[in-house]
Amino acid sequence: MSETTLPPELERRIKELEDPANQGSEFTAMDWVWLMLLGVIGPGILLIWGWPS
Amino acid sequence: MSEQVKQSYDTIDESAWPLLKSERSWGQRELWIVLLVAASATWCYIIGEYVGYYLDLKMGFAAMTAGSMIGMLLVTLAVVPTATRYGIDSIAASKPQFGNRGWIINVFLQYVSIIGWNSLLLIFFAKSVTEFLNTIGVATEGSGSIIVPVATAVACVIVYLILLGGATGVERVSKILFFFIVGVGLWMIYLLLTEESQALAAAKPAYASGSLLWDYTTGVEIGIVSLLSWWPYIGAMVREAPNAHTATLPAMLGMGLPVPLLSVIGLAAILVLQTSDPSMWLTQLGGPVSGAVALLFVIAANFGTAVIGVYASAVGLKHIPIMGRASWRMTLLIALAPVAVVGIVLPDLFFNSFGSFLAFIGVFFAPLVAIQITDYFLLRRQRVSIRALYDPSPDSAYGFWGGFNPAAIAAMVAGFFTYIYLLDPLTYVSNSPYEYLTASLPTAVVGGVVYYLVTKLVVQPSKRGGY
Repeated sequence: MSETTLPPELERRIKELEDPANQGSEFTAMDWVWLMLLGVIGPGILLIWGWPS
Repeated sequence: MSEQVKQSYDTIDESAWPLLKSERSWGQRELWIVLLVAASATWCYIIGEYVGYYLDLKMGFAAMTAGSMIGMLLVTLAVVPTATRYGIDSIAASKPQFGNRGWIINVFLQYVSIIGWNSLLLIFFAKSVTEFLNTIGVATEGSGSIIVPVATAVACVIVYLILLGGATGVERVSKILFFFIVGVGLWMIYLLLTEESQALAAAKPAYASGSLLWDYTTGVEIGIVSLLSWWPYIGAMVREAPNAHTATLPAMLGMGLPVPLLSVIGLAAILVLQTSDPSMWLTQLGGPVSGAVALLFVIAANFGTAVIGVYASAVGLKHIPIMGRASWRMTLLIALAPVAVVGIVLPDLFFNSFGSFLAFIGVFFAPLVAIQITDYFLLRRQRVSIRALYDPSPDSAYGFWGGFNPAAIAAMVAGFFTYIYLLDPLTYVSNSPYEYLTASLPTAVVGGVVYYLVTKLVVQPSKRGGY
């Protein structure tokens, strides 16, 4: 068990953020669709388009 | 053993402490604007210039845009989930992988990277000021040797004053500069495509290797590494958003897409005008009045990015205990001083070494993002200990061995040698399969695999790392 003493304000923040209800949520399913479209499929299409036929 | 963790700050966004959900007020619109301003600066012109050495306009645009979006995806996956879950910056987000002392490696990388990019901005800034003063008749030819250092110093002072307001200063300045950046960028693209359309259609890249595949892959590689360098910036910005969903599209489209779109200006300019620096051709193509006004916009646009870069660097420095106790003013000075020195003393040396600087980004940031993605999504199942992030003691969950995680160090070393083998950062001499895979993507894969294996074989059996 760590004995580090945190400043009261940091301790308060950490306690609050340890509750999952106070944390930000993850990527949604639609976010993953956008990520794959913009970061994988889109670049693939662009590379095919850009290559001289 | 008892340790005290202290930080000095006036407002919470001037510290490296986590932001509470109630404090993370930036919506998609605010984040979109700030990230766009962060990414859109005159460095895009030199990125485009490097692609234009090897590829014509169509191939260069395709390769650069594809590479940029791939690089942005990697950075987004590495930082956004942790940063938006706990309101933390890129450095804090890397502590579960590098250890509660090992994150210092990433502070160093962040510091060097931001110094490099901001120095580039200041060099462009000073050149634009010189050209603007020449155009309106205030300065004479040859007075650049005086104007450049003075303009750089003035820019540093203005950036410093804006950032005394913390993230509020970042948001305010971004909202103002957003219209400048978009407007002048569109105008420059229009100018080049209309005035030089025939020359562009016939233009051939000056340093094409003779292998179209190698040139195309190099265009993709330049796009990837350029966007990997957003790793240090993005955390400090997206932590102001309440969740990952809010940050996804602003990151990909606001920070990822503007770089290749604006880089088209540098790409087209180097192909037909043999220089990517708009201060050299804006007045020539646009006429003295329009050119001077556009130069003013370019000058202003640089401020937005420099402000955000120095802010991100200052927040990262706050993790270092001695810096945590320093005032925000002092932290800003330390973040800004090397930029001023490079911009004033070594502008030409740095400008001419831009290709090696880009490769430096790839060498280190490609394995870094892979380590974070592997750890967060595969090994930790999207959960980290917020308490351990701020616990510097050896018995913290992220204490590993002496505060360093051997899995992360092994992965960085493996990534380093993979990159060097595939593409020499100094000479750009490559080895197969670079021409098919780029250097950054295999480096990321090797880094991620090594991290996974060492964690499974060494770290987890030793009950270290809080897995």
